[in-house]
Amino acid sequence: MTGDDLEFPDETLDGASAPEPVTPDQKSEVMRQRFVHGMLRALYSQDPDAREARVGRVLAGIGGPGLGGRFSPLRHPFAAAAGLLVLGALVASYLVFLYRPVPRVDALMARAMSAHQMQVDRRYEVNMQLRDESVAPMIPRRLDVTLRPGHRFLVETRSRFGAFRAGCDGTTLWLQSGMLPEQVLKMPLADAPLLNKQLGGAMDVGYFDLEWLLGMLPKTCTVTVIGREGDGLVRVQAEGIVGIRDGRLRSAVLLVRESSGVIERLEIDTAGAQHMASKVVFSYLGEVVLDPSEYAVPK
Amino acid sequence: MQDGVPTGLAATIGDVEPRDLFEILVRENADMVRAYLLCHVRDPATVEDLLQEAFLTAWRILDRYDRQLPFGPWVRGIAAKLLLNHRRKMGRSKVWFCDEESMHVMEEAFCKLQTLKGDTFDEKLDHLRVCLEKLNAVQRDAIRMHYEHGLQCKEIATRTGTGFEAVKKHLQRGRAALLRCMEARAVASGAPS
Repeated sequence: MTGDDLEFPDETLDGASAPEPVTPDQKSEVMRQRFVHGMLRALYSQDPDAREARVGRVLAGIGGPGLGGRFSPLRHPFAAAAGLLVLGALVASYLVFLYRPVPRVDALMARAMSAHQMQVDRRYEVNMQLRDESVAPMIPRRLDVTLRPGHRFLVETRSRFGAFRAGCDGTTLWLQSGMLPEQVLKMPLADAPLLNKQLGGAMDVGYFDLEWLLGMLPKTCTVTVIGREGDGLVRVQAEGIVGIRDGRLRSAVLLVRESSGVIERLEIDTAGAQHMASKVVFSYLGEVVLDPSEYAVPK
Repeated sequence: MQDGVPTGLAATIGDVEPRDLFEILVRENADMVRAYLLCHVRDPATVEDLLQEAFLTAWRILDRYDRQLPFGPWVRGIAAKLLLNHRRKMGRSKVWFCDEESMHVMEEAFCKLQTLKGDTFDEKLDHLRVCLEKLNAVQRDAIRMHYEHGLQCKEIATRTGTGFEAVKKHLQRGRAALLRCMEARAVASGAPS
């Protein structure tokens, strides 16, 4: 056994250990904190595969194969038939074990909402398909978008005119072109639909408010869990119409990480002839750490 | 002990294979023992080693187990002794949070956990999930960032734009609130307060 660190109290419990607990009350308080600490660690590290491996290691350690492992079909004339029955039961049990019901849609959406309300910065690659790819060659199809709850987002992309950045600090929307970085266009977020109209439907910032979108989907769409997909992801389908600022969502497909609730992929089919994009796809790149000032209007 | 099987167990369980019975006990209690060890030990690999050792010791001395009593506290007691032995092996004298008096408090907390509604350990954790939802947003975010996303206090402070000490306070107060909430649910389940 190596690598233990019993002598180093977890840093989050340092506060409880200063001054060092000597009285029974102080020790009791620290142990109560540690109890919840252990429960939380257990809660967030649940892994069915690791659990099976753990049980398997214990059983290997006691030298037995586990349930059903000692059955001998030669002990009784009917043993072969019984063996088949046992085998069938084991296969059935195994299949039952393999089958895990998909999460309830309300629970999954609540988990997703909770994850996307956390004050962390999440980066997505956003790809757009336009209704008519020939009409707006200057509009970039790929964006790097960083989102943070509270209407804060940062969009970075390149077009044929150079780099382009847009952002919002929660109240003020701003745009900055790489060609004229000293000229920053800014306006209240509430005026974003007007800007979008002027840009011919190319800048619907409503898509960058995932928190709001996740709240709206169950209210206005038929949301269904389709099934598990890949490594711990759950596919969710939303059908219906959601007004997103001046655009409209017709349907959406979400891939949600079951353990964390993080949206790892979001495909939005838009509706409305005025809207330039026909499809918007978010692909999750991971968490990043942005200084809060990154969302603010550049000075 | 015959053929590696504890004699006491073999004598009392009739036709059921002792290993099969023990497998059921391991499946029922492994998560709880792991949580118990996670309370004390930071390194996950050491937790796995101690858990393994606890159940293997339980198997070896299974004939000492009083079947009138629940298995969980018994195997937890073995894990506690292994923890204390491990501390002695480490040769550090300042491991105040791992003395017998402190571990008695921990054992009480686990006994109370057992009184919560739910048959499996995961069902007991459902109470913690409910209590997490009742925390205020600041405490819940701090706890999720630390425990779910593995961020240290300094990183949380950077992300949330708060101070290091403030983050630690949020975590401490969050944990205290969670414990109060779970205790209230245990009382509601009929456990003595």
